[in-house]
Amino acid sequence: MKTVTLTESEKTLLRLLNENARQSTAILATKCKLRESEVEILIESLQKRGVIRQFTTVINESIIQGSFNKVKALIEVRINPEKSTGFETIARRIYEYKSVIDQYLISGTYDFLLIMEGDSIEEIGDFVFDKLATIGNVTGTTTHFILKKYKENGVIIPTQSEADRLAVIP
Amino acid sequence: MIHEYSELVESIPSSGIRKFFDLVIGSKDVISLGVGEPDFSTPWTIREVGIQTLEAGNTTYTSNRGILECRQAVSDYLDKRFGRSFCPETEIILTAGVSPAVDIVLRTILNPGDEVLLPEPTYVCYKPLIQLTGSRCVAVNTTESNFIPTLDSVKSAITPKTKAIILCTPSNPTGMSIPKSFMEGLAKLAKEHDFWIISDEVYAELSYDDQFSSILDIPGIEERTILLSGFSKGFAMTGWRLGYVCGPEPLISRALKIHQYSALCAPIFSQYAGIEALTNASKDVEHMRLSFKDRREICIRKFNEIGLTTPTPNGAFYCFSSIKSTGMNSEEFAIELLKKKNVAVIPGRVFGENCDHFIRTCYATREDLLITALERIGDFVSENP
Repeated sequence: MKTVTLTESEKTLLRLLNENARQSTAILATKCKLRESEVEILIESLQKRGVIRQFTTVINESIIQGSFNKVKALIEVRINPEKSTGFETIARRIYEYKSVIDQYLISGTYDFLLIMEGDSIEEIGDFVFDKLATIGNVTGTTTHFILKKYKENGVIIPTQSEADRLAVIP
Repeated sequence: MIHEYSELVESIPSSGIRKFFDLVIGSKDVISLGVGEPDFSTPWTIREVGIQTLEAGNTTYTSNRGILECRQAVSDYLDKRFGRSFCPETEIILTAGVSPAVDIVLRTILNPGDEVLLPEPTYVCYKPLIQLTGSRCVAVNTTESNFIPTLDSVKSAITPKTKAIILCTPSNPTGMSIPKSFMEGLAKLAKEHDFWIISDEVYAELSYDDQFSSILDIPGIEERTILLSGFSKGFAMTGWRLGYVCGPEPLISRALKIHQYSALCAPIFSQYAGIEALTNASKDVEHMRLSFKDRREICIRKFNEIGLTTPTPNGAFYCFSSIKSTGMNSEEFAIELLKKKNVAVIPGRVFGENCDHFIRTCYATREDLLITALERIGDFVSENP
């Protein structure tokens, strides 16, 4: 894959967007000491070059009532790689499924680590039995259902209220 | 007899911020830009060492100077980070924050009648602590020179009674750093007129544009320089109460006498946590520094847009803005802003007599709240032309 070289402004912009992708162009421009139009051009360019793939959200599902919550699982997958194409062809046969949110090639006992999302435990179970385990090169899987989320994308999901500061230091 | 209190204590006024604090406490939903502390919790790696220290049952006094391991860490850090050389055994005392360090240093060097030069605007604790020794503060006004003292103004304030000057760089309340050119001239004056330079560098880690510079960068000035610093600001450890004083052995051994009788030692768990801060928290510090820098840009642009002239502070997390255009004095401005817009800022008056047409804002405040507060200040200014 083609790699890209980033300017210092682009690096700063990525850091800021990674912290909060919803901040206004005006604020981003102020922080980067650029004009708003320059920030817009930079963001567009980063998207075009494939550096920014998506703007997403970190949701605190634990406080949402009802069936918004998805079931998530980490799945370790052991495979027997193909001689000619190695891991890549098999990887694709897995990551093309929409329900696979993340997929990594990892070192250690297993080869792939998947993060999967489904409406129920059964749905994920069905996927593992029917889709994953039936791929010829897959020799084993271990499924870990996620019970509670403590931190995601570097953001702590609060479990207790933060300590108050004094409004003015006397 | 019991109603006759110390004349020195009676002579110093209560904190100007304190009065304002009571007003703010009585108001609801206030966005406060009045807090002089980081809005981050202490980095976890530091907190964990504090917890482990307590779990291990390390809850005792330490040596008066502080545990040697922590003094060694301070010495190594100052050397690696700023190129300073202080002997951990004889030239460093750990204190419960920087303010007590200011106190013991002043009590060590001052006699009644001595004078201390104080560039104004100045941090609020210096003046009363000087007065409590029976000495006199001589203000050096910097409001006409972009909050940087000039050598001429220092020179004209020097008398045979001048015993010291206190520098706070980067400064609370202005965020300005004192440039090396001034330091060179000041070093000459200090030698010529034989006075101490007390350098409060608690915001050194929070420098944004230029490399941090200090009086200690001037060769040969160590014998008359007292370095004060601590963990509160750069490492977000305000509540841990840990600071330090570094200086020549004859001064430190005398300051130790006051420290050992009045404070005994800094809290032991803070000292162990301090070692972790100095050795393993540089990434956390850098993350916080960048976050403050981002917010500084927002403040500077907004204040200057709405006509409250503000020089770009190159350190700390404060803006010191002129409210001259509004025709109000700083207390009126702060009280009206609080009443009408629910935003708390600190009136400049508390930082010096010449500062009554300035306000101090602290931008170590959650960004969305900071932006809202700045919008409200903008509205307030345009409604009071």
